[in-house]
Parts: sequence; C-alpha cells; structure tokens
Amino acid sequence: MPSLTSERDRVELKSEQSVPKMAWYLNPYLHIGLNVILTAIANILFKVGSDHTPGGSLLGLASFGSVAVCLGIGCMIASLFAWLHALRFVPLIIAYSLAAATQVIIPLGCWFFLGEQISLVRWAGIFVVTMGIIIIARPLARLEERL
Amino acid sequence: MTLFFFLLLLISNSSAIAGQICFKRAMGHPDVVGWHRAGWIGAGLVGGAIGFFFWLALLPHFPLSKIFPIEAIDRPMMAVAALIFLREKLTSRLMLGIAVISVGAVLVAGT
Repeated sequence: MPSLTSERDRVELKSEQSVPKMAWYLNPYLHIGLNVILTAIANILFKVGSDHTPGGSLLGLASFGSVAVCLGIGCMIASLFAWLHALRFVPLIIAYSLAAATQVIIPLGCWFFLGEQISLVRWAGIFVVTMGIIIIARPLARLEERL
Repeated sequence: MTLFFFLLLLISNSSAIAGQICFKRAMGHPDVVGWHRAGWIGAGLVGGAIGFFFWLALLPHFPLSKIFPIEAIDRPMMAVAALIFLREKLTSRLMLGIAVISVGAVLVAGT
C-alpha cells in the first residue's frame, strides 16, 4: 500500500489511468484499503451470525434475522462505496488484485477473533499472497514516491 | 467439499466477476453518467447479490478461514474477463503477481 498522507501524494499520479489531483482522503488506493478492511469485518460478522442460525435453510435466508449479519451488510454497503470510488481511477484488474489483501486479513481475523486454527501451510499461503500483492503494489508505490 | 458445494462456489464466483465488470463499466468511463451509470451499478449489484446469496448458503458448512481463500482461484478468471470485456492492459508483472496470489490462496485453502 503506497504512502497516502504526504503533500506530494496530492499531485497527479501518472499511471495507466492517471489519477487527478485530489485530497488525500479521496486517494483511490486508500479506498481500496478501506474496502479490504470493511469486507473483512463484514465476513467475520457474517460467520458469527450464520453460526447462530440453523443451517440448511434456502440460500441461508434465515441468517438475515441475526444482528451480526445485518451489521455485516452495513459494512458491505460502506465497502461498496469505497470500491466504486476506487474504480473511477484504478483499472479493475489492479484494484481486484490489491483487494486480495482480504485473503490475508480474513484468515488472520478468524484466527484472532473467532479462534480458528491456522496451520503452518496456511501461514505459508498467507505469506505468498502477501508477496503477490507486494509484486503488484511496488511499482505503484514507487510511482507515488517519485511524485 | 462435495461437487454440489463446489458448484455453489463456482456460481457465486462467476456472478461476482460479472458484477465487478458492470461496476467498472459504470465508474470507469467519464461519459457514463446518470441513469446509464445507475443501470450498470444496478446490474453489478444483481451479480453481486446472486453471488452473496450462494455465499451465505455455503458459510454455515465450512470455517470461514478455509472457504474464503478458495475465492482467490477466480483471480485468473477475473484477469481474463478484464482483458476481454474491458480491454485492460495485462503486464507481465501483473500476471506474475496474480499467479503468486493464486498459488498462495490455494496453499491457504488446501489446509
């Protein structure tokens, strides 16, 4: 994730699709980060909610009665707005690849908050996914450093 | 994971990809505004909603930390879809990154 707070970041980011000059809180990469965090929170809430509702119902409709699931839906709606803003400036394939950070944050969240086990191989997988994100994000970060 | 649950996951992923393509069509072009934009966002929401319902149906049956990373297998599918439907540029570095992420996701999901 590139640095988003310095004054330099406010100047135009020249990339495949240039990002116009904007306030730091409108930076599309910040909004991809917001999307990732809100999606992780939402999915953990969905899991908590669906665990307390009977399984086997049609398409999991019974889960809508859960407060946790409803809060999760709220997080999903907020993450959608952040995502749509990011898509105005960032190519879908780059945004979608950076959003793979959910693959790291959700297992870590499940481990930390839900007590689910993470095996050694899964830790290795989390590390490899992180490497993949760095491979994609590094040229973007360097681009911002130069500006 | 049985064939039935894998099919549910495949439907969920495909719907989500179609939805993302619609979102990008809504936001990616300055000429797409007003009802035109709302239409694409609506189509994206329908795609996402179909994926979401199938996702909710899957959740009670598996630990989230195990089932969620399987979704990353759809990343190469998304790359192909963005190439075909949005004509986005796919650099070698991006392809490498996507491949590494997918391998990592399979490692996470396979344990």
